[in-house]
Amino acid sequence: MEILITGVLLGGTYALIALGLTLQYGVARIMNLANGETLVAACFGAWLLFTAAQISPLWGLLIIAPLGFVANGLIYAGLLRPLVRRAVTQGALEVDAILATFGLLFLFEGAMHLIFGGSFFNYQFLAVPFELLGESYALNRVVAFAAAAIISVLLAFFLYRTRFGTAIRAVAVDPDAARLVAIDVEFVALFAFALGGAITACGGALLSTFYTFEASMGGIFMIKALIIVIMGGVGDVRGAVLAALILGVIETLVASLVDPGLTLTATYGLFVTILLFRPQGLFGGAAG
Amino acid sequence: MLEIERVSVRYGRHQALFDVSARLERGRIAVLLGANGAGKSTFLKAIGGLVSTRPGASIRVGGIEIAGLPAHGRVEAGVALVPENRGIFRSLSVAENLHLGGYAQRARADGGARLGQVLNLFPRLGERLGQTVRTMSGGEQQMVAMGRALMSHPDFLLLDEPSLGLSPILSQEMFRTLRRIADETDVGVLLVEQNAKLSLGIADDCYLLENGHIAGQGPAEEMKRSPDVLRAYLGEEVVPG
Repeated sequence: MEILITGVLLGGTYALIALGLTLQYGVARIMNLANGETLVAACFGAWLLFTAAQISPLWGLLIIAPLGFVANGLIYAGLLRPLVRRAVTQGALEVDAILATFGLLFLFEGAMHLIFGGSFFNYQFLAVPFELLGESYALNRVVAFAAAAIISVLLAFFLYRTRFGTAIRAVAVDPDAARLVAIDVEFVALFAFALGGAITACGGALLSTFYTFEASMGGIFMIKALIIVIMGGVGDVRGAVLAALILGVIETLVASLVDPGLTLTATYGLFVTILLFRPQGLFGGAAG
Repeated sequence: MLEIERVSVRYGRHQALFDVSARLERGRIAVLLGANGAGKSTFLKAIGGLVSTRPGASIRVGGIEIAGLPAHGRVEAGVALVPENRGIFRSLSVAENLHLGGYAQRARADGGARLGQVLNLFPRLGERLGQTVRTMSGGEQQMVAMGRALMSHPDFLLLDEPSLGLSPILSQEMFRTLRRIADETDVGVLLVEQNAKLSLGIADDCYLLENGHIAGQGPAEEMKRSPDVLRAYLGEEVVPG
């Protein structure tokens, strides 16, 4: 039970990170390999705000999320939109986008290494025990989970209950048809990419409250997010949330029952299993 | 009035359209006939903003120039396009397609009334509102596509071969519905067709497109009897005299 709850608490933050990636890939059609760098930058941002200005990471979200939005928007408008415009086919765009964002990954990782060095960082935020069902958990993990849940619900409300959210989902389903019903596909793609960046940044800021981070961990988290997205089905919000919780639980299981060094192995094992047996994702129907 | 002037389109070195002009009034149906590769689909895409036109082209809706607008802006200006591949959301339901069809600003008021109108034109869609479009027959998908386009409250409807893949009976039904759309909703319909006989039967005006040039135009009644049309599109021997 303790493992289950710890895993779910971790999965909540994973869900945010993956929702960011699934928005970028599902709507803007960019497989953003540099997504993990947004996460790491948000970790450092939250750390800076907390240690230098005594701003709680929760209030820090109000600064970090808009920064993530603007930074990712600029990356899309400056670097990726030219690729989208010149791409002849979807396949060509995916290859170009993967190469371009792979380059960005190294660029940002190097930049953060230069600024912050290679050492590990953490800070003490709400590092007090919290009683839940007879066991005690770190309060920062519980708060991070609650914040992640609230942000996910707000995102789902936006996507499923508002007019612009409907347009975003329509572009995810079929950009060509979306143009024909007066949806500005270029703008929606830009917005979704920026919003995905903001959501991932929120995930990073929350992660930093209970997780020791360092400049070069972006790649690993990008892989985790990618696995969650593929497990959940590309562009599927419910699937991403459920897959994130599953991944959180499995990682915690392996770390506490087997060996903490094997978590990544477990993650990949799960990934390969899903790819072999449900390549369309947990909830995905037959390919259209 | 939809006024199209000097539309030229190039795909790389190949020029598909040369200074094509046409005009269409609301409530009327114009059919564009031509052989495969004559540039018919390109013409509709150029009006809908899916391919770019060469400088000098002018497309006006009610006097307002739309040639510089992107595709979504042209829908807002009142031009709805149903392309060759139908342009529908295949993985969504009929109801969701119609709902998205009404996304345009211009369609926001009285969307409910417009839905009623569409379901009155296509009663079949009313029975299938919850069905995923991908699982429907070709004829039903065409109804979804036309219904989706009408939901955007267009002044002009552009249709690329709506009878493609339909049985003769379904085609006849579809053309009768087109006539009703023009008569009852005051929408101007520009139709690209292979089926010259049926389309000329319901159209008011006709344009002939050959190798990217307008080769002839006139009232559909006259064009039906023109020797060129008879020979090229209706497959009939021309009897002199």
